[in-house]
Amino acid sequence: MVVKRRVSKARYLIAATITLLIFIPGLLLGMIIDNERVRSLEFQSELQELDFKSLQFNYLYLSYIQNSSEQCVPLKVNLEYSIKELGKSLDSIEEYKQESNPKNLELISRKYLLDNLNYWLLSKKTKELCGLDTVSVLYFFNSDCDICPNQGIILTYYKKKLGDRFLVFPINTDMKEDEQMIGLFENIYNITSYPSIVISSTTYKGVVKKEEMRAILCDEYELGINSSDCQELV
Amino acid sequence: MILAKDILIMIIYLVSLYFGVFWILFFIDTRKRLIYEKDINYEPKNFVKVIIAIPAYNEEKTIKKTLLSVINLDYPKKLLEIIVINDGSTDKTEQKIFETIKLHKAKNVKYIKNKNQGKAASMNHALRISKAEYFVCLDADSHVEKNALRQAVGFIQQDKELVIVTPIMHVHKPRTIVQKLQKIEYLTAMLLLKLMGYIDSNYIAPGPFSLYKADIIRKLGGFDENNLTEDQEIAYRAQSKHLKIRQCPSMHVYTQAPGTLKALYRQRNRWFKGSLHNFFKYKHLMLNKKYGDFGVFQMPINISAFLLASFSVAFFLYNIIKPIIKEIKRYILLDFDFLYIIRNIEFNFSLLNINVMNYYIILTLLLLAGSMFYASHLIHDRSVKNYGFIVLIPYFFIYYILLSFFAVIVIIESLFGVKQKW
Repeated sequence: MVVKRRVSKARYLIAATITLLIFIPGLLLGMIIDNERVRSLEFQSELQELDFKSLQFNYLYLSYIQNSSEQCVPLKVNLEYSIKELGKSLDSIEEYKQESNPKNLELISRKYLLDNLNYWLLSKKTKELCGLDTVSVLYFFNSDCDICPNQGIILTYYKKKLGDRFLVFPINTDMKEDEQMIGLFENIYNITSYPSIVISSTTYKGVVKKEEMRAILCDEYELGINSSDCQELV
Repeated sequence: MILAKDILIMIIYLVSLYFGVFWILFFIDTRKRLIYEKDINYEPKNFVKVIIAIPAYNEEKTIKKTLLSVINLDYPKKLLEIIVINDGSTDKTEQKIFETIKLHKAKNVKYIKNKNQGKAASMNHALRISKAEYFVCLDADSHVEKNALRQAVGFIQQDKELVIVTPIMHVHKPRTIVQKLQKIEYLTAMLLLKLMGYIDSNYIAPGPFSLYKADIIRKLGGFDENNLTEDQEIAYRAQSKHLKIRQCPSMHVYTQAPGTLKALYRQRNRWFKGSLHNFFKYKHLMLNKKYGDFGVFQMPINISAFLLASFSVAFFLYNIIKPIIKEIKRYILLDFDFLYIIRNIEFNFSLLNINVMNYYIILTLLLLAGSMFYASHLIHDRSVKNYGFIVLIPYFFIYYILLSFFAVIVIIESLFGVKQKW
């Protein structure tokens, strides 16, 4: 009445082989796409560097010839374009970080961070030189901060509303140990928690909500808080 | 951290893929046998005495149909002893039983009224008072085809080693979407049980109309009265004694499936808790070569199912619910400025943004599930178009996630010692 037990070793082995045959192409495909991501970011990074060099030269030239407000226009346009491209590249990095092994992206992220700081500096200098009506924001965050994306949402909202008049420079402080510039900026602006934003040398800690941000921006653009222009910001 | 998450995903995926591939290959390997067996007419060599026990607790809606299907069985009446055990019903179950017996002048039906003791106690009661060679249990919410008993007796007689014969269960007249989903699920589950039988790995003897060699069940000590899923426990016990369990390919039983999500949850909560309990009760069989494929393969599957369910829930929450919550948060932060949100919708599609491995995992697992779905319909002569394509979407994309949530609740409740009545 008792069953003679067997272990279907051959079946297990065949199933294991076929499992691996299905699994390996998926793994390889994932690795290929990962490499493509890194290559694409490296290419974009090289373009950013070229753009920056061009802008830097543009600025130096303007500083040299002085009193040339007409020449400011192309500089302004180029700066805005480059910052927009930099923003797109940063978004890609954040997306890729979620989808692939971030180890591959550490160097590129650091490069982009430095580009960001360079552009921020250049935007400040250009504003002084050409009297631009722009507001620049340094946005400090890190990946352990749960509420940081909330600040990102508010900043994106105003970026979409104000376009080129509102320049956001995100600083991912995850790389603090590798990149000393982050520590330097944090000391200068007294950044002790995340998210923090810096607008015209003033540091705002915690999430600056939509209404608060509107008030700050109206002040920066020198619009009366009750003026229609200021109301339109919401 | 992310690396650890990726490795965990790979391991879980490999395990699920392996089990899926194994059953598909096994199906391909045995399909001719499956097709051949389903058309065999298992006529009994000699008719012997059979007792059918029908434990009933508050089954006024279904008991009549159940009893009637047993009374009308194509089996010699003299050799058929039907015992209906009213397990302390508080509704009109008793009245319905009497009406049916009277109307059909069924002299071979015995009625026993007990205090509520549970299904296993009722079955043990029937086992004790009968001297029949075969014992059959039928849930009071199920009914059988006319030839079911003949087929079961014929099937058990053609293999001397056989101790338990299990039926092919179907959901009876599914009306709600929840029932339709279970109908599809049952078909796949029945194919798997059939395949498990071929490698002596069957771990359940379904409540509706499983047939047992009565003296062996008595020697085993009868049914476990302190078990939420006594039909699974008896199968585990049989396996632990190396007894043979097989599904009869021509014995069909129809059961009333839960019609609402709440009822389904209650049923699965009991099933899953019973499964966990029975697994740990018989944990010594796990990876034990002495028990052949049952120990080496089926026991790991039984416990992996809970791990896979937990993973599915985590995967679902992370990949689907988290982005939804993020989006809701965005709306709140922007004071529900819908105009702005609509104006700024961006379709920024790039192949590079896709997590290829995630999609590959989902696609391959769906293909395996789809293959099992197709195979089960092929074997049971059912058309895949029966349900309409609309039901297939929740079946493949929602139903198993839902069951996984139920399983996770059971794991949590078990960890905190929450008990459940039958």
